[in-house]
Amino acid sequence: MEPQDLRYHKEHEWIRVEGNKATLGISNFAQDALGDVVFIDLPEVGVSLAADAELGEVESTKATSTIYSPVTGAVVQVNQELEEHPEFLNQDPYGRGWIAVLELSNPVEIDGLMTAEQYEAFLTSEE
Amino acid sequence: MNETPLTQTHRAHKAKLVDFAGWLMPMQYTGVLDEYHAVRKGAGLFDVSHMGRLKVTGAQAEDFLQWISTNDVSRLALGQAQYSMVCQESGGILDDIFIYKTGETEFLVCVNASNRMKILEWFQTHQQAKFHQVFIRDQSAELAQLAIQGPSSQSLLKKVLGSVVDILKPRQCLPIQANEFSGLLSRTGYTGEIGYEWYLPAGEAQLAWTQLLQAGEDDQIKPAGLGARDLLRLDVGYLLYGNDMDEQTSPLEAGAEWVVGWNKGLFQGQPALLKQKERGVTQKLVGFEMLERGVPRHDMEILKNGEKVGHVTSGNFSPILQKGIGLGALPPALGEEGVLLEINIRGKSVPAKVAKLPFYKRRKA
Repeated sequence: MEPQDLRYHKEHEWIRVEGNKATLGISNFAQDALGDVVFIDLPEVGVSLAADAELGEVESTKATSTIYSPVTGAVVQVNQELEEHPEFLNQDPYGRGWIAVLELSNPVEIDGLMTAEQYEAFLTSEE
Repeated sequence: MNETPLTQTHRAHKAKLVDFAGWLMPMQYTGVLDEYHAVRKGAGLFDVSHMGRLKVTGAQAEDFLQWISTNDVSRLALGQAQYSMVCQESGGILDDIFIYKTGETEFLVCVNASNRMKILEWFQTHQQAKFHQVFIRDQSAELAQLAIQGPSSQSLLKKVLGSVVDILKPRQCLPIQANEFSGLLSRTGYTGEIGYEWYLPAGEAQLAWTQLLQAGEDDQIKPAGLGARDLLRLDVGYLLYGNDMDEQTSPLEAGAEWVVGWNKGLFQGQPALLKQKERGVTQKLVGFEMLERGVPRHDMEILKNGEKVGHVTSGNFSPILQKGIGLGALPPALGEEGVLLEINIRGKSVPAKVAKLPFYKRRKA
């Protein structure tokens, strides 16, 4: 079961909206598919990203994967703790494994993202 | 898809199963890093039954293997194992193999899963051509193959097989008949740790697996999958067929001249290899390590001052060294230890340098 209060992106990122800010990370499905993460390239604070633009990269013992920004916005905070503890991405993808906080430029984009229920259906259809 | 005698067990362990050379094999159980560290610190138990196992017997068995493989089989005493390669006439590698001398006229040859049918046919063709006193039997289905690897592997195996385990020195093997178990036990592996491989009747595999895991509870033995195996072998610079070498690569180019028995007389591929040795190779496999953050991967470009000079054959992040490491094919002049290079990681040139192999050496007790 995916957390109900989040929205989900087709590239398997999640986003939690609070006012005009949004915290994002990768979904449980994504961390499981990636395998053990050995490090992450975080975006820089201040960078503006378009929806679906590359936000960072994660290296796992299996492969390199790109993380996409589900929405348009500016990076206002990144989870520096992940540099020391990339395993948080695997252990707690919706909690301590959060990646960045964006300031939303176009909050209506949120409506275009999947709800938990839709995301679960999406995962089933992708299998 | 082929399954091993242990596939059901892997399912019960909730392993992630993947297609590996037509075999349904465990990529990981609890997690690649977890399993990797278990092998470096305690022990890991691997099902490697997907490998091919060919028995070569008969009065001409040794002559046949001398002809078909690059290493000098006559240097093998009874109960010894040897790493070797099978080359075609051009010198290109058909497979890298392990040969176990299990009797005066009896050998077990372990081949890669992906090359099993090719090697079986290659062996049969050459046997029919000039080695009529040789019998080749594919024992892959009747035998299972386990690898027990890590500093605790010896004490653990002893609990299951008894003190016979203590007799084995590196690259030795012996037939076992202990408790309800049999087969051939060898002190070999693909991880850079003290370790064993056990070739046993398929029917005994399940019980052996269970007993080894039980024996290991204090020693932290964990089932380990192909993901951990690949990281472990790269730490010590062991080659992976299909990545680090193929039919277009010779043993000299693969940095494995030590498996070529130059003095043993004529063998398959020898004239081509000799010519290559005289002329010199144009590229050679070397190890390199990243000097900045970045993980090299198979097929990435290796650059020198921005110019492409080679390519990465294997690459990953070494959990124990905490940096990216890899093997790559380079012109020999650039293969000297310490030479500065760059790896083209998705358009970014990340500095690296040629490093001495193995990247990781286990601490001797």
